[in-house]
Amino acid sequence: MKKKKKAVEPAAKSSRPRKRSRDGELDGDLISHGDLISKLPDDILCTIISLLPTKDGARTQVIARRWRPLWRSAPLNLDASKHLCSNDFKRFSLISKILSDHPGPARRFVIYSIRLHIAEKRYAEEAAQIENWFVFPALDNLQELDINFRQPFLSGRENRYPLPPSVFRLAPTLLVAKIGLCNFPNEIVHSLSFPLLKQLTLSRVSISEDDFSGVLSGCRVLESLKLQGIRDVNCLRISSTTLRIIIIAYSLFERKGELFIEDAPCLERLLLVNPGSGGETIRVIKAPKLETLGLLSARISEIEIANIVFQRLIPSSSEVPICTVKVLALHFSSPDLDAVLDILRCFPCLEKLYVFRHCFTRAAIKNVPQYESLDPIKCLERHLKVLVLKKYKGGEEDVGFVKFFVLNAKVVKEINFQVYKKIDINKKWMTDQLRLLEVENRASQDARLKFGRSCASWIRCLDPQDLSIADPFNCCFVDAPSEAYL
Amino acid sequence: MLVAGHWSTRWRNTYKGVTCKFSAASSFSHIFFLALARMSESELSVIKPESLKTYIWLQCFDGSIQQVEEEVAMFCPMICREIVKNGTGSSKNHAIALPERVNPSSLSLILDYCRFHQVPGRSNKERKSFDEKFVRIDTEKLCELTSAADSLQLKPLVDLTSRALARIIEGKTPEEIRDIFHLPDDLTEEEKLEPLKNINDDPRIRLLNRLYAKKRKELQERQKLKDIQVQQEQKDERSLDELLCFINGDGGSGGGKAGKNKKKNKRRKDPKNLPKADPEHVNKEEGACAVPCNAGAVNNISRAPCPSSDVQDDNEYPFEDGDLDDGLDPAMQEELDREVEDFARRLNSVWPERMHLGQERRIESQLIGGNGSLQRFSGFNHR
Repeated sequence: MKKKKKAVEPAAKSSRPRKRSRDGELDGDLISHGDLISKLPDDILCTIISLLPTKDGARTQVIARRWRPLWRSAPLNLDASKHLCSNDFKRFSLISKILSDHPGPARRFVIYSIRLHIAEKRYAEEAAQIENWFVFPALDNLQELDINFRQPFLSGRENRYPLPPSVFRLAPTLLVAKIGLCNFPNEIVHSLSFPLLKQLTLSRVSISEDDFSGVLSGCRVLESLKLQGIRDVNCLRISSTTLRIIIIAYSLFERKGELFIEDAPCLERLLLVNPGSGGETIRVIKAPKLETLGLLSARISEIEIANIVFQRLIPSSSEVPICTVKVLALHFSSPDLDAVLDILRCFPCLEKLYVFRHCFTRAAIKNVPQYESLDPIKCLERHLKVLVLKKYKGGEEDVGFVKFFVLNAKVVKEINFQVYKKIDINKKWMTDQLRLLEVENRASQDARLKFGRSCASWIRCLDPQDLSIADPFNCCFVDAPSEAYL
Repeated sequence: MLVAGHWSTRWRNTYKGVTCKFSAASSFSHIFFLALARMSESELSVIKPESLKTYIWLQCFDGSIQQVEEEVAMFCPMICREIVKNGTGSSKNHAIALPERVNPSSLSLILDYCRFHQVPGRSNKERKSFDEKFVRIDTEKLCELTSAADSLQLKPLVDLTSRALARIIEGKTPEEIRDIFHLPDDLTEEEKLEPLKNINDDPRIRLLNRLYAKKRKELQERQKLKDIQVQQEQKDERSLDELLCFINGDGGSGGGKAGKNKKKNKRRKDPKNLPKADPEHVNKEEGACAVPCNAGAVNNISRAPCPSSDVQDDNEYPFEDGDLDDGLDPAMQEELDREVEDFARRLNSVWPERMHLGQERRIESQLIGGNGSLQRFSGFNHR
């Protein structure tokens, strides 16, 4: 109440009369339409400010007297993207200014495309500036760090900027760390620990095998690891007692290399976002809880899972199938039933099968093999509940492929057809499909067939390292499914 | 249960969770159900078995009392504590007194929230979509709700509403924000400008960084000096070559200027590179009367004796000071610098980003329906 009276006094201000006329009344009304948000305690306002983008957060200082000191007490959320300042080089000094000014602590620091000046003098200056950033108290207790450099201009692909070792001062409090396009400093990493780090992303960084193992062993609660384009190394070993999800995006190494998942007792998901684009070989040696696996593609030259080696998706014969995997996503250029069945034999407890495919190739029509009841595929008999086909076209080879499952999968509950966008889903088309698929002879009476559209960017669905999403392949239909038939 | 057979399946299905309690019902309930059995089906579906649920009584600051199912109320930590520790809430007379900031409308919203989320079987998607719809209320109610949730210590709801308020504030000018939340405009004009001033470039920072950079350079130089011995011989040889060239070459015409430039060059490079070695070289050159073969050679030779570290630098940073410095005054230097960095930035921002974006997009389109030649893939990755 006091501060409102004080504000009303200097009537000379241009804003004052405007406000009064807007309300149209006198003091009495101003008081009764009291401000809505100041009843909230400071720490909630600080939480709100900490969620705002940096510019908006800084601007809250000029809202009202109550809000003035809040930005400096709210945990800093410094998102130094183009939004903050479009000029790359000005952005630099702006970041330095904010960091030198804010007393800390910080919640989040995100910066993309850091590029240093080419002139030697300014390069050194700017490198020193970057190193200073992490020493400022403004970044104390940082929880989320996302730092990405950019390829230095005209230097060829070989060179990258170094990650300043001062970053590791923040290691004790980091929850999420994403590091991209730089060189990891050597030797420092060995003695480091990351006691709170839950999510780690290394994207196009240069790090040695030992340093990588050092980082992993320094993590106590790491749950999610995402790797992409690791260079200057051709072998990586992962051993972690807490890791639950590993994502490999695009190519793992810059050239060929091997990834050994040596001991991951909690690993539940192994996701390969763009399988086969790099030349890597993946060997999962010990992951007793692996539940979700994909995408497996014929483009991967070799992937080994618990003693079964898949070369171009052809499994080596093995007596010991992998019983823990429940969700599998396969990627094909054309629906190859034989290959899929061979793979299904390796995963007898499979409950959900996703089949992704290219749309452009035209393959020869595969004949539907005679199902040998003497050698049944266990998951079809007992476990497979959901079959999802992405980019379904409804042509002969597609129908042949799905028909097999319709006729032989005994416990399947749901077959989702995510139909290719150019096909018009109308009643006639669906009825045709059902007829071709011989649903009247289906093996599972409970089966429901749904036709709908898929969201185009399923790759993005795979990216989030969010463990609360039950099934990362289950990108929802864009529209609701058109019909469901019993 | 005797009367079980009289109930419609619909009734039973609706109250599935409750049926298990029936078996433990008292005789009172027995009579009650017999009475129910005589009612028509439609009447049955309306009646809830209230006597079988425990209710908690809550009292708002304004005196109004309300009762709520126990499991719903227990979802709030503050209420939970009151029930467990102080034993309040079990009857109308001993209703739990809620904090001042909880008004009746906020309370009903909070109870709706609790009622939804305390059910364990819901999927994450359901919860998320409920939450999204839940915060679509007007700003005043949202603020009151946040305040109430905070006083009841219901952290998930506080987080949800805070995020909703942040979304409202995001992207708005201070004037608009004051408007939305009815905040007083009580800062002076100077005070408003103050934080904005800080956004501009601060020369102090640059000075500090220059000092830092100098220090680092010194350390690096000391490191380099250790490797200098190897360089020494090379340089002496080159100067020999130069001498030979001079002896064989034309002799100095217009050498003065070139010599000066060379000296300027050398002197400029001095603080950066090897303080020891260079002066020697310069002296030798001077002695040899400056210009050997031709101006081009001079430049070549003056550059050649740069120690290996400098050569390395040239590979990385081709637009190095040394190459562009010759005869340019600082102003031109600045201009050139700026042009170069502008060009570099523009090129770099368009091309590599497109490369990367293009790579990702192309990969996507491959898998979605592009051309799909494997070569294209590997072409991108094995650059």
